[in-house]
Amino acid sequence: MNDFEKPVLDKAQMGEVVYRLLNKAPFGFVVLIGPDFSFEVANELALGIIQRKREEIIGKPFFEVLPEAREQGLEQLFDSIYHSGKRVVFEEQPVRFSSSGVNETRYFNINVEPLRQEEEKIIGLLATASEVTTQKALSEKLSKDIVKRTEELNKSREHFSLLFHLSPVAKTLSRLSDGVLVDANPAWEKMFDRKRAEAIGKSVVELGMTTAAYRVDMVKLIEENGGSLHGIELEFDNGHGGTTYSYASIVTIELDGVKHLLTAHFDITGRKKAEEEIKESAKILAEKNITLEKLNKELESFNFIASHDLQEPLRKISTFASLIQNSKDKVDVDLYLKKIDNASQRMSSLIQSLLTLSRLPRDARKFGVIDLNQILDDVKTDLEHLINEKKALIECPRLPLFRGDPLQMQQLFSNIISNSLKFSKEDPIIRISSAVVSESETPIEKQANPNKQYLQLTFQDNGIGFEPQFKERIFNLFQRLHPKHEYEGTGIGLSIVKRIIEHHNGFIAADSQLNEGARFTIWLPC
Amino acid sequence: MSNRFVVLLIDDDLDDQDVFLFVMSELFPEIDCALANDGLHALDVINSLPSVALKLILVDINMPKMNGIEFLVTIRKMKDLEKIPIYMYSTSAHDDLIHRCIEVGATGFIKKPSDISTLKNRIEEIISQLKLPYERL
Repeated sequence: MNDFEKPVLDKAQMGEVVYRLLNKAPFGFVVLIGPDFSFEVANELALGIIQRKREEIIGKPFFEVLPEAREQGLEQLFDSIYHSGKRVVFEEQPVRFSSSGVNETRYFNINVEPLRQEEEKIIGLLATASEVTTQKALSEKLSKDIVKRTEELNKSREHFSLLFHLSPVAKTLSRLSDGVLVDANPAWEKMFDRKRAEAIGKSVVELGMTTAAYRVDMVKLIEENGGSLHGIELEFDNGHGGTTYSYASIVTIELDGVKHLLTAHFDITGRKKAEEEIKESAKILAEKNITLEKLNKELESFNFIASHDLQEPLRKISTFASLIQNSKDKVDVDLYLKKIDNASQRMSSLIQSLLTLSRLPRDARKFGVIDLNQILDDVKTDLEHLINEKKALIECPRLPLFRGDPLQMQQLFSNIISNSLKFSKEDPIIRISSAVVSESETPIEKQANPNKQYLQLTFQDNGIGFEPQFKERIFNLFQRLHPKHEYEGTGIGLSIVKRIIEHHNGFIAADSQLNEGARFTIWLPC
Repeated sequence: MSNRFVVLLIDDDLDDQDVFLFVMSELFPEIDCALANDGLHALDVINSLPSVALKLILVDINMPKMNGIEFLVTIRKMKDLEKIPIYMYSTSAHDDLIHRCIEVGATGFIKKPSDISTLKNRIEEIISQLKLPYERL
């Protein structure tokens, strides 16, 4: 045992200290003894609360001192505590005070409990009271503030809601985490052709407006951008197989602690559509331009070559005329006059061929069902004179019906056959044959559709032929392989043939060896 | 035959050949004229001539089988004929074409005229420019 365990004060001294402490305590303290609850102890604060002096109350029963307390059912309460031994707590109990004409109400938390002697017998009541007036006032003020603030908030919410719903701009409120729509305004219903009632509670992904991946990217972008995005172009499935384009602004807001996205959409579908149309128009325009350029180039070269080849006979006429005029006696006048005549005939024939070439239409008009046998007969009739003169033989099996331009097909047959007659040796034989083949069986390079059917026409002669190196050149405009005095001709015939074949979306190929005849194979879609 | 002077005309047009021969006979009867119908034929003719003799080539542009420009390119690749004067002799004579011919190695360009006197003047001009000795009878 040491010094610290020995009590410093004895029981009486302790009581004295405790009493003094209690007297000055910051709470009201009262001890009521006996069934009539006589004041035994009352500290200063308690005296202040009941507004009596100590000498007035000590030894006197509670309800004698404070008769008004009876009205408030306190007597029954005290009795029940005294007998049941159960403690009672009053919170924020108002007590009216009036001093020097000023009335005020103060609030106390009051604790009343049974006072026991030696753990068993209840001999009275112990009551403590803590003043909570300031707290109450504060909490009341806070309550008032809360009410006011809540009102303001509600007004603000109403205001927001009004703005939200009345806005002509489509707006949505959705949860950031999963994109579930919390609200959507009528403008949104109109823009996206969906009902608010059906949309709320679902995410934009569930509504089929966008994909999960798209949304994820969008959210990422928003977060990277500090929680808001302005002026971003978005795409949504409009539910009818098309796209709705929006020019959107998105901000992150917190509602009840949960992050939400407030999105405003400006419908730019119309504008996008117009942009698309402009792009499309531009594309078509570019294509048309290319076609036009090609045409122009052709025209230029056509013009160039035409004027060049027309100049030649004209020049001859002029030269020979001047030779006759100036050197009459040195030249063979009759010969030169003949040359002048030939030149003018050449001009005439050239102009005729050029006109034929220029008249070939470029678009597929006048396609009809043609009997190629009839065509061949007509051509044979036209070239009858030449055929007889050359003693030529034209062999041909039955040709099929074909869909094309009858006049052009006649021109084609005529040009090829007259070439064969012209570039012949003796007793020309021209063999024509036909077959139907599929695209894969043709030597066409770019095979778009290997199963497409073609009519294959072959013209084989036994004439002078040509060197294989010229097999593509011969189709060039004004291209000839022989000097004018050997074989007359404008060099346009095969150009016309090629043009006609192109018009029918077909292909032509020439094959030959010198002196071993020539073969022209034509493929026409049928 | 070291002072033999040959001018080669390459042109498929017989009439133009005749006219040329006529003009040459009037102006320079002592000069020999050789003729070819196209580029390929011309190469054969050239090979058959002694190289020192050939002094001037006139070549038409529009000819079958091998045209004038193709001929020019071929000739300029041949060692002995790099420097030989070659004049294009053609109906068409617009700037692009002349430019192209000069680019490829032509010495000059003669546009086939419609009257004889212009042709005579032009040919005289060119042959005098060659400044080579020839005998004028």
